[in-house]
Amino acid sequence: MPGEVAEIALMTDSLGLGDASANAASSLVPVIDRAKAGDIAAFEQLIEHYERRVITTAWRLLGSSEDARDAAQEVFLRVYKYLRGFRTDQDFAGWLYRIIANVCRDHARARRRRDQFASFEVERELGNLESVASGENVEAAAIRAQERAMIVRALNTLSKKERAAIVLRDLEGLSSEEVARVLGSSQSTVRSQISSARAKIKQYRERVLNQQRRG
Amino acid sequence: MNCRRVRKLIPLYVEDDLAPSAASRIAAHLEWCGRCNWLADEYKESQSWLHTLTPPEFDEALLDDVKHGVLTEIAATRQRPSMLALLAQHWGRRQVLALSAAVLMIFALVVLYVYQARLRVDSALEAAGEPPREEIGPPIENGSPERGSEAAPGAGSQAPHIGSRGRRHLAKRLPKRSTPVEKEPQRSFEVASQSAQTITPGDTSTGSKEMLRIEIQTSDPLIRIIWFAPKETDQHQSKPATD
Repeated sequence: MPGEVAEIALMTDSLGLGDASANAASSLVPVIDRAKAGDIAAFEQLIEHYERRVITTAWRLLGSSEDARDAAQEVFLRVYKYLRGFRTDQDFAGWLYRIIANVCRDHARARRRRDQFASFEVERELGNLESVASGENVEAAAIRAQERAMIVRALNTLSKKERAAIVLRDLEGLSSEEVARVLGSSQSTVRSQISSARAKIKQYRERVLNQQRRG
Repeated sequence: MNCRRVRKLIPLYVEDDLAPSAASRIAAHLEWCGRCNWLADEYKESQSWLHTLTPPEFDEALLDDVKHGVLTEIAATRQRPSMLALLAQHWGRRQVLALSAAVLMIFALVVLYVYQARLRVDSALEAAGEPPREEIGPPIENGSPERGSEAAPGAGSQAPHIGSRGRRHLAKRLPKRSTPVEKEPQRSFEVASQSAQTITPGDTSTGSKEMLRIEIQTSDPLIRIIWFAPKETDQHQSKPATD
């Protein structure tokens, strides 16, 4: 069974999660069918195949490892709950993205005070990364972690919709059409959100760079 | 395409989110406009910076934790499936929809039946000469002493403002007197009590002899039947009168 999972992973790893490639879809169809029929082992395979990507996307959308873990758990529970209604001719990855976006939106909504703790979360992420990087060049790891924290802060300045749009488009690599489908918006709305988000990120970066130059 | 328009579209241009025709026009503009070109470069740098965001490494322990959490929750759910889950397991979506439609139809039929039954009662009341239930508000309001005393100061002025729904509501709240009338209108003419009393000739205009006054109280306190009859000659026609 682990061999089968690895085989599926190899077949689909080269493809983006949102890539509706026929090969990826056809290789997963039997597993999805078995999971739909209530086969827990097949569902476990689905989890193993997608969990890293789900948790990464959730982290990009939420900006916190702890929240990303909770969100990933919730995502798979929803997948299990609604898998019966999933048609195998649909794009599973797109369907999964929709669930991720909805779960992360619910998480963000439930945690209204996120913005107050956002900086704290970023600092904590930074601390974790610094402690992890004990084996390599500590200075380089710290610089990388600082950069990462700065980008997360930049993402925190966006509205939820802008963040979802830019994460899916620029970081997950979906096309704007796919992003529109996942978020249930029109393409023009998504393009507007993406444009606004890119402008805000650019402004944030310029502001930080100016501060660094002065400091 | 002017600079203002180009600057609006540059955020989309840098990541190829524009239609080819718009992208080529912007590219042509950027060839000769230094300021817009500089802005496009800034956006490209910003986007490159954004793409450097790599998520933290999620170790296997964390991933296993997520997986086991999900599987444990699923196992718990499977042990206690909900009613809907049971329905969904055994029935398909179409069957569930058909069942829902059937339940809705039955509900609608029950509502229709109750409505028609109420209409029938109202029409029976009208046929019996009684006002419809909605119109029996004022006597009911007066029938309850404590409620009458509560509503006494403004009762006269408020009464006309009570709509048919309000009267129906009052009728429901004060059912003691109205219930027999509403349920079986024909019984309202049944004799509740009967009394006979001898009166002097001066009391009536029917004759000079002594008269017998017969009162019949129906179950409706508003209706009382009174007969006056000559006392010694029972064969004479009596003249009914009502209060």
